[in-house]
Amino acid sequence: MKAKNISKETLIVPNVGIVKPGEIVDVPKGFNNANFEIIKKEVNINTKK
Amino acid sequence: MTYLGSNSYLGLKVEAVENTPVIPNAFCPLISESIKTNINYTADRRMKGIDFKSDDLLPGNKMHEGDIVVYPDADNLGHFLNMLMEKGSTTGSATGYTHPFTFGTAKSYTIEIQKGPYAQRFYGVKAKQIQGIFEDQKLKLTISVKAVGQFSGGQLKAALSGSVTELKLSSAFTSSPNKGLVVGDTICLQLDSGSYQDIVLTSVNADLETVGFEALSITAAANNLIYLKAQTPSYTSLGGILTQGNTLVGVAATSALADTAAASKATATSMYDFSFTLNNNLFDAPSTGNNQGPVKLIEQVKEAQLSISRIFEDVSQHVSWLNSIKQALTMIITGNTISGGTTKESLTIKFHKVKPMTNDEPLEVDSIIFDRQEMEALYDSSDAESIEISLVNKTAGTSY
Repeated sequence: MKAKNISKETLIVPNVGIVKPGEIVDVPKGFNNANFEIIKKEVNINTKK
Repeated sequence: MTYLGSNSYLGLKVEAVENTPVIPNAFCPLISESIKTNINYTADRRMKGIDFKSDDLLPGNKMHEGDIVVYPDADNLGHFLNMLMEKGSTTGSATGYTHPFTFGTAKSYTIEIQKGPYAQRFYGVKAKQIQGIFEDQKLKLTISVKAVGQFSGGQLKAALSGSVTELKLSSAFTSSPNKGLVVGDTICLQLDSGSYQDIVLTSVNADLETVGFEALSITAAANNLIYLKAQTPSYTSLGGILTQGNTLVGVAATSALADTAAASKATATSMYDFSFTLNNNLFDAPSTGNNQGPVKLIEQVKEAQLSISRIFEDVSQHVSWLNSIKQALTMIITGNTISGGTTKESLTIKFHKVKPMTNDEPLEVDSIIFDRQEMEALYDSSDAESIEISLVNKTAGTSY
């Protein structure tokens, strides 16, 4: 699970580390913080026959 | 499963519209808290043909209040002052913003306190009183707050099955059970399987009981539990507390002279103990068309007190007490240097007029004599001001 720091601050996050603005980091399952946006997994659909 | 209080947080954010909840995104390490919702239950004593005292409880006026205890840093201190006092125009830049505060109309906040898996959210929060003491050299604040409403947990009103995009909350606690929730919140719903489903809200509906979300396949019976999911806290800083060792107090006949005295160690008054209480006597306006709690919180008469212990050096303080002589007092606490410049964080509190209510000089064997004073802060007619606070930190004024 990945999340992006959408705040303008460098943040100290317990069990994650120090995260700069705009940085995308791995976060534990269930992570929930208003300063972060959870990055949804991209689904690649192969339409080639 | 057990949960440790040490993992909890205090989250807070100023509300753009008073008493309209927002999602807290600033976090402050707590020492303790005791904020609770008092539903004022009483036993139902109506005659129902039974000879036992009561068969149920009836709710009364809902109140939300209690204390937050923290060692503030210069940044989160701004939020607590903003809950109690009125912030003027911020000046400066990222290497040092100056935020002035005077007594006036405070801003309301949404705050969250983690209790294990759930977040106890209060909205429309204002401070009634801030008490500051130096404990083991560290400035410790006890912030007494009140709120107009809360959201923490509830129950599902009607069963869900298959693909669903909304749910209704039970109105057992209040007729407006979705109040306190915000679009973007994550709530957890107990499924019939026993596990909990995270649900990110895309709407909080005007019917005051429905919330919407992206389609999910859910099987849940009526009365299954729902709670607001606790956040993982994030901090902009975990140091930078304010200490007595970096505090200078100036006492003089006027506020301008007290400022001058507080500007250097040579002219400052040495304080052994120092504490202050700032109070706006916040009033809970009775509930009107709002089943969550008070309709709003209103500041009433403002007041402040100081408790001081200083080394007795001459008769001046004794006479000040006997003859009720006006003094002015300025306290400056200096913190860390703000990154990128040379400006230091600071908290300046100016009491334009104080007088000792009591001045004790107790004698003890082998102990030097102290002036122990309980001071009342007063309105100074010549300065047209009672108390001014100035906070210098790295947080932009828009955050407050």
